[in-house]
Amino acid sequence: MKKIIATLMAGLMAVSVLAGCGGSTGTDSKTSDVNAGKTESDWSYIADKGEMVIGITYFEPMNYMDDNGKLTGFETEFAEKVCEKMGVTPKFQKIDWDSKEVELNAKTIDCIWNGLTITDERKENMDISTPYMENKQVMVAKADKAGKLTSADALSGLTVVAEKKSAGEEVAKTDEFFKNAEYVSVDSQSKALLEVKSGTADVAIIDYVMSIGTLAEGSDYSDLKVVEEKGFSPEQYGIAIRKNSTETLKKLNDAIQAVADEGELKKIAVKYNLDDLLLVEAK
Amino acid sequence: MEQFFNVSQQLLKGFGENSFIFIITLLLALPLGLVVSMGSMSKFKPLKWLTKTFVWIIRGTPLMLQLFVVFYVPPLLSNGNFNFSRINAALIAFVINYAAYFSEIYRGGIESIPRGQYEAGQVLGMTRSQIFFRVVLLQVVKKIIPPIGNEIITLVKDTSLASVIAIPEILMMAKDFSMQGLIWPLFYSALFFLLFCGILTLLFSFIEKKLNYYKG
Amino acid sequence: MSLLSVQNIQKSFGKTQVLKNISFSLDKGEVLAIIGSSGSGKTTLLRCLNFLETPQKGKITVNGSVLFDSSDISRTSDSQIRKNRLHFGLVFQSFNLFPQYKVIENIMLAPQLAAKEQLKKTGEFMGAANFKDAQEIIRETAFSLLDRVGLSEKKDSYPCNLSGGQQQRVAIARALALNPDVLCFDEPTSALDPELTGEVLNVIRGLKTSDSTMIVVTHEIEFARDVADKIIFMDEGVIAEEGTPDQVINNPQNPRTKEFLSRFNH
Repeated sequence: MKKIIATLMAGLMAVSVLAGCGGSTGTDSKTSDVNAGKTESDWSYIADKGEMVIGITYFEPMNYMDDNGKLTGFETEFAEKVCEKMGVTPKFQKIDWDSKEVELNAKTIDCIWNGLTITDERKENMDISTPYMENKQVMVAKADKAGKLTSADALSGLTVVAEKKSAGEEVAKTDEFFKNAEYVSVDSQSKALLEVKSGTADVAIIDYVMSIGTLAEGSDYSDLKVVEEKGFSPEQYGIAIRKNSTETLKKLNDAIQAVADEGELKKIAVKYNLDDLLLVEAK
Repeated sequence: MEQFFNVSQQLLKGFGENSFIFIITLLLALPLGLVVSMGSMSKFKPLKWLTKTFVWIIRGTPLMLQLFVVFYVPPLLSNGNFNFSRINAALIAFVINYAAYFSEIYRGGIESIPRGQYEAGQVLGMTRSQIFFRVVLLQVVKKIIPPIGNEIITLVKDTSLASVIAIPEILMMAKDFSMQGLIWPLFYSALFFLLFCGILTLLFSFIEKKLNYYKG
Repeated sequence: MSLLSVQNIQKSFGKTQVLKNISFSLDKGEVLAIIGSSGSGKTTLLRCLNFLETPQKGKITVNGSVLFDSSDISRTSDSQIRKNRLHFGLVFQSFNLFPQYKVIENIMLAPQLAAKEQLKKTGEFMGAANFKDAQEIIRETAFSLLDRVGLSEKKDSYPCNLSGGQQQRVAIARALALNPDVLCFDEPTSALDPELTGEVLNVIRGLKTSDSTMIVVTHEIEFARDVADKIIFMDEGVIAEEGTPDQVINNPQNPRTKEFLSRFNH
């Protein structure tokens, strides 16, 4: 299934390149405006609509449904504040995480705002905002085993799982700490946890941020524990928008700073217990 | 208990999407399939080959891919100026896909009716449409009920593929719960499918029994 | 003047010429038996008369009106052909009853459709002014036809519950329900077990006394001699011999006829 998507992505990217060419040759009425370069047109496209479609998936504590079925979370509230500053209405659109780049290029969403880790590969394909939050990869294991995972030797013969193509996978494959473990990739972080929970794997490497929401007291994973002492591969979260959208990027970064300056960002982070990880300081 | 109630309610909402796709697909694909089968049995060769190619492409590619194509290709080609809504894209892909499958079942059913039945109608002075509706149709229906039933039950489960273009259907809902730390909704969602398919199975065995009054 | 006149019928399938210039005529109330080996063209001839095949050449006239003339294409419209067919009835070798209808419904279906059409056009069908009355007339006729083929008590059975012989008798009643000028039988007993042929042949014999004009393609030589007023022996698409049963069966002239008949004299 993954392969199909991967193949299709390649195909669709080829198509999107063609589509880009089509636009620049002036066959497309909306983008062939002589004065409007592509960079300007992305912001005017969003501004004309008056709304910014924000691509999200649900995961606690970033974006999730509360008990009343209302969308909430750190990113949700953060995005609402930022959009207010930008003068557009936020519209949250749930997407399939595997299709986020296609969604962005197809303009079915205007940004990806969901704990997106900034990587070089992503920076090549998309414009990414200033980093606003720090994240790290952590090990998760059954509570009774978690304390023993102190050295590479202790992991010898154990099975380690992580989401395919994630930062966690990078860690599992490259970090010396895991050299004696056997690595298996799965298609999502929640699957990785399920593997550990069911005993088919011993250690999952997931986002620290995700572990906060998912391993909370009262969840089905409450018998799993984060190995707090050891973190890997610190990384940063950013908001992704379409490539070469300079104006949109500037507006976005300015708005983020403005929200931080007012102290709102800090307030929201505290609410979701994420204030330690915040990167944008009030000036 | 309250959690169970909340999850059930959410999943039921998701299953509403599945049911909606299911019903609309059936309503549109069943008649459209008949039109397609007419094309593939046409004596006009270009139409026949066009239809056959269409059926080949639709049956020869994954439905998941078709969902992607219907939803993402129009905006990619038009630089975001044109796109179907997610649910419309899903409906278009499902209707086209299932019409192709139904058309082949229809064709098989229609071609299995002996020529003698048509000729008997002809020598009795019936028109083409009288022969089709009065003589052939019910015999075809009897023949195709089992394979159609099979296909329809597959459709119930295929509807969850709509999640690849982010339709909030039941499996996606259940996966979201697992992101929030609840695993059991994922397995609980199977119950909805089982129940739905169980009802369909009963319905189809009832229809089959109704048509069992004659053989041949 | 003869009831049916067939002139110079030619029919080919691809390069194979199946009927080469067939001509014959038939008077009202006459029974014609067509005999000949398989592939001699006798079934094709019958199918041409019922417009299931279109001859390349020839002319078919019934009761003085021309139904088919290869030199006049205007007569080949769908609705014209449908009208032409009603002059003929055809009983198939394989019965071809409609399996989903009861015996009585099999017989009534076509007349009902015809009645609806005629009521719409002329407001009248066999003296009835509405469909309900017409339906009663059709039902009466169907009952009497079933009685004639000896299957009154099977009226509510489905074809799958009847023996082959019974199915063929229903098929005969069905063909008679439209009151055709000429009733054709295409090897009506060939698909039957030997012990069931008798009941079907007896029904056909019974029809002869009621003044029906019939054409019977058959392998039953004895039956042909009994029932026919006229026999045609077909061989390789031509009429090799034609005459009374006495002439053709008892004193055949053509060596091919003699050879064919010798196979039946045990």
